[in-house]
Amino acid sequence: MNINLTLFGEMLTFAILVWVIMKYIWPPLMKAIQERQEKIAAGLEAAQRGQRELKLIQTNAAEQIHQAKIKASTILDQANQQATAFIEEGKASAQTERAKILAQAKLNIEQEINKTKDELQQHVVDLVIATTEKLLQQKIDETTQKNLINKLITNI
Amino acid sequence: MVTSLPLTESEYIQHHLTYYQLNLRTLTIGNGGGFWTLNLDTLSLTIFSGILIVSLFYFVIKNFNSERPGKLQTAIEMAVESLQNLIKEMFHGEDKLIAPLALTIFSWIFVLNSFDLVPVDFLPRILLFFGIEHFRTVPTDDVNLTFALSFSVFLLVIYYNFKGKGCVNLTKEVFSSPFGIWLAPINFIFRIIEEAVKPLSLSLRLFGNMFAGELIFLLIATMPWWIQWTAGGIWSIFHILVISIQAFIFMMLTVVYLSMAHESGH
Repeated sequence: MNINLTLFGEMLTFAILVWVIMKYIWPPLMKAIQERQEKIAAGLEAAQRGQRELKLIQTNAAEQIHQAKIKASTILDQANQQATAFIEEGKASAQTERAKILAQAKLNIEQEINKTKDELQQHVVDLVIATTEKLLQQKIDETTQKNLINKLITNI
Repeated sequence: MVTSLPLTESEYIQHHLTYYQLNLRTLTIGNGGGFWTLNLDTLSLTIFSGILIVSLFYFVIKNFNSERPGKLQTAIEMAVESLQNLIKEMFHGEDKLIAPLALTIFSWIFVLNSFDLVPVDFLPRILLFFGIEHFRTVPTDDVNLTFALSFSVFLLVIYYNFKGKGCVNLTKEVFSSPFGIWLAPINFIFRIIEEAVKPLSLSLRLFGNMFAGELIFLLIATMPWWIQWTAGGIWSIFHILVISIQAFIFMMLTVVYLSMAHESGH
């Protein structure tokens, strides 16, 4: 335990060391640590903000999906209504068309019948005339006459 | 001059407790210079440790990464932050010196104490090759160093007393506390004792702990080689604790003393 000049040497060393650390180590170290703390705080805040935004967006998205669903169902309803309306319309027009065509066909048939009747009458008349002409022109026996008349009748 | 082995146990211990000294009267190696002597082992190791911690901090600052901190950076950050909190709690008011001072004291004493864990013969044996006969490995078991530290703190305590309270208030406090102005001489003597005890206890606590630790390591080294690892291992593990605690206590008490000096009416 001898005190000697080392005491002052060590005091000087200590003083220099403290001065160096105070001057060149402590301020930049503090600055770096402070920057890092701020960065961490900012990062945490950003993460929280992100989470909040995500939540907001999620509720928005859900709301929008809900709206879209409602819209889709109304569109579907409208389409259905329109489709049935179209079908009904088509049915009705088809019905009237059918009635029209039916009536036309009836008319045509009647016309055709009348025409045939007329033609037949004309034919009969022609036949009678021809037969009569033949009867008049030649002498015909009874049987032949009968035959002719029968023929005529079957012809009618 | 070169020591011839084998030595007796007491010679061995005596040998390890001798400083590597420079006699400034004759400028030769060896003791006998009285006050005009430098303990070269203490000086070289303290300067080396000082450079070591400054470069360590410098390295950390240079490679500071605020995105992905390394382990060393995180450790220093944690240490510095807890130090700051400690000082914030104890020392009221702004001061540029006290935090770096505390950091220096803690890290420096920690490194210096750590030389205690170096095997007792390691450095002396290596240095023997270079003709250095005596070398003490642990700087903190040199009273010159511990007193240098505590005396510096003592000077700072005086400075902070004046700075924090002012000349008038300090004088009033010295003569009137704790027994009132009518017992001024007793107050004054009490105050002197109180202040003088601070550096004494600071330095002797550190010195005592480290000296005893090193002495026990030396005693362990005189045991037979095949049993040394048991006692040596246990003592080393225990000493890791002592090293940290002594460094912390020295720093802590320094901060406490300076806070007490700075604040009026303690």
